[in-house]
Amino acid sequence: MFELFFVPKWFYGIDAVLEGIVVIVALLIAGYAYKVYKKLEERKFKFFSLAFLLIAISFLAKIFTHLVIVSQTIRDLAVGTMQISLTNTNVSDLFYRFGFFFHIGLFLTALLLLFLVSEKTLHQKEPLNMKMILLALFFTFLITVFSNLKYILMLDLGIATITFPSVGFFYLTSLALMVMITFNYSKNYLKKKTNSTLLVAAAFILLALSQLIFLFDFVDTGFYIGGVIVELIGYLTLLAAFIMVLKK
Amino acid sequence: MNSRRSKLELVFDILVAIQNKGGKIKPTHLMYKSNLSHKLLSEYLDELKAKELVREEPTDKSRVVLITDKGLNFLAEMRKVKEFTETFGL
Repeated sequence: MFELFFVPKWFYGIDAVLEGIVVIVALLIAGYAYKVYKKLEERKFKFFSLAFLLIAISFLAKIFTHLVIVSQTIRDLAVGTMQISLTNTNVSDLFYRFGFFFHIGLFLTALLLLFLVSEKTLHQKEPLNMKMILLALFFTFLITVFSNLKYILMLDLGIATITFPSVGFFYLTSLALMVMITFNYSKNYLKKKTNSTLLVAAAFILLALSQLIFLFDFVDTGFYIGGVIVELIGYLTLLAAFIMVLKK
Repeated sequence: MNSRRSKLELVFDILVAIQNKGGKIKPTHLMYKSNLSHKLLSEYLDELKAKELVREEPTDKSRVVLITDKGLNFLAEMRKVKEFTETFGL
């Protein structure tokens, strides 16, 4: 079975649990932002809530792909790899690819929304700039499709050949968006200088760092494990900031 | 949408002004503290009384506006929303 991400087999159940925690954190923030939106009816809260809801769903899609891999592995062991019918393998492949398509697409859309909210472009009283949003969504869709391809880019530099899997473009895009979001939240911290704004800025620095680590997971699967752990610490830092807000 | 936000901010300012005066304030002082005209303040106070966020009590010479428990809870919730807004740069 073709796998887009370079994950050690023993880590499949563990990363599903760790990503389950991310889902809970994202849902908590999305739920509170939606509660505020219902109270104040300001669209920035609606988009912020939607961004975290999309993050939660995207991680659920990723967990689903882990389940596909685990069930495939169990079936391989039970029946014997050679005896598995081609149809079964194709169905697993299809579920896996759909899962990752949704994970990548929803995650990038969520980051795009978070960036627009942190840029305060969705705050204005004027109607939304739909042309700009549709164009950004179109590029997100293109990157999602391209990242799901089996292609591996090979750059022949004469003395060495650099190979780069297409999924790397997903990490590269999410890293770029995370860096821009981090920049905005760092500015927010420098303006407000509170503990909670510091935590949010630190959380996004960690999340950007995790995307950078993921970028190298094709070199060694250890990078994937490192990325998942740093990503989890990033979301837990975000949770700490959220709890700090609620305790005030 | 924007007028509603302004309204919520004004309500917040009115309730903060009452709380800062120990939960009890004269309407004239409230008018200065919340920077509102007499007419507007009366309108807002009527609405806040209807929602049981404040109540009025007569005194020897005039009357005072008091913040209720419901008003204090609302204020605490609004403070959290403000903190959430600032923390997440919204």
